[in-house]
Amino acid sequence: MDSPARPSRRALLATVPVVAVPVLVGTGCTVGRTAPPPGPTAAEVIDDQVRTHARSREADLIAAYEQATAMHPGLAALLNPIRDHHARHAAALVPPAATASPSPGAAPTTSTTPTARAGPGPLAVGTDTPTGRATTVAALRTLERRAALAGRDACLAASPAFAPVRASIRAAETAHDDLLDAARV
Amino acid sequence: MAVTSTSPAGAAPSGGPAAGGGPSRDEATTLAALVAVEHAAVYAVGAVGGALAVTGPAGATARALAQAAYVDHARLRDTLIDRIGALGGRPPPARPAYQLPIEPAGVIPALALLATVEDRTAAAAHDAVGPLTVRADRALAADALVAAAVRAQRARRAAGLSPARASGPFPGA
Repeated sequence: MDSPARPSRRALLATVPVVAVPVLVGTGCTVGRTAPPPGPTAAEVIDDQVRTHARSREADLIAAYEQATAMHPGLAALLNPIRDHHARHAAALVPPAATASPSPGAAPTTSTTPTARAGPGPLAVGTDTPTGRATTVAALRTLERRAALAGRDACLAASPAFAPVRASIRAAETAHDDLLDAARV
Repeated sequence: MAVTSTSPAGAAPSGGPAAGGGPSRDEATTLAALVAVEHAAVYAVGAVGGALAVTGPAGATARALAQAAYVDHARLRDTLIDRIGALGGRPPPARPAYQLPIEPAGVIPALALLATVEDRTAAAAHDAVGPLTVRADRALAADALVAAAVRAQRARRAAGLSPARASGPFPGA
């Protein structure tokens, strides 16, 4: 889950050992390991639903960003990194291979980096003018906020093992919205 | 986590969990780990604000980020302390001082320290999400992760980093 552009958090913590968090030695990242998990079957079902819904959103987001970059090539430096994040998210939302899908016939795609869906993109077609770019960015922000909002509820419902993944994806989605908000297009 | 082993209380007592054991104890223990990180964050962000006070107009954006971060971290710290108390736990106290990983001597180092503080908060919040079983507690950690990710990105953008380098796909992970 490392960003290709930055050292991972773990690496960062290893090489920058001190903002000094001095207490609770011995708990740290393993706190709560004895928390009783919810019923495994129910958790698997919920996690599977969360993954399915989130992957659908990621596919839409990827399609939207690719359409946006096609309409506004000048925004590529802004939009391509976000598109790449969503591709990483989609890959992280593929169920573990060892986990059987509870719904036969709904087998996960073998592609871990799905590309945009065929057909017209999810965004309204706009011209590459300041107004058109602003409209496109606003539409992308709406998609990000909707995904993040869904992610909040999903994180709260998911299993202890999967909830952090969805929480992190939601954080990225909110950061995307903020990045787009601050961009001058 | 890479932590220094200089806890003034020695072992578990500072931040000791609820006495009763069980889920409340686990919940309080998880929240205590997060509040310890927030104590350090409040200290570090305050140091950033102090360093930026003498940077004049060039530091205006960074000062605003530091001020907002200070308010956010102090609020999160206080919320966590209240919640740990409600669970019957003892929140860990703040230390008098913390060693800063980056000396905030100037606007760019100050922004780098801000981003590092947010990365650590994001990491701690991310790690707290799974173990927290009470819905409101998990929401608190998840929302803290979101806020830290946004603040980290703003600090890096203010330092001039490109969108591609300002944030990663999985904040906190």
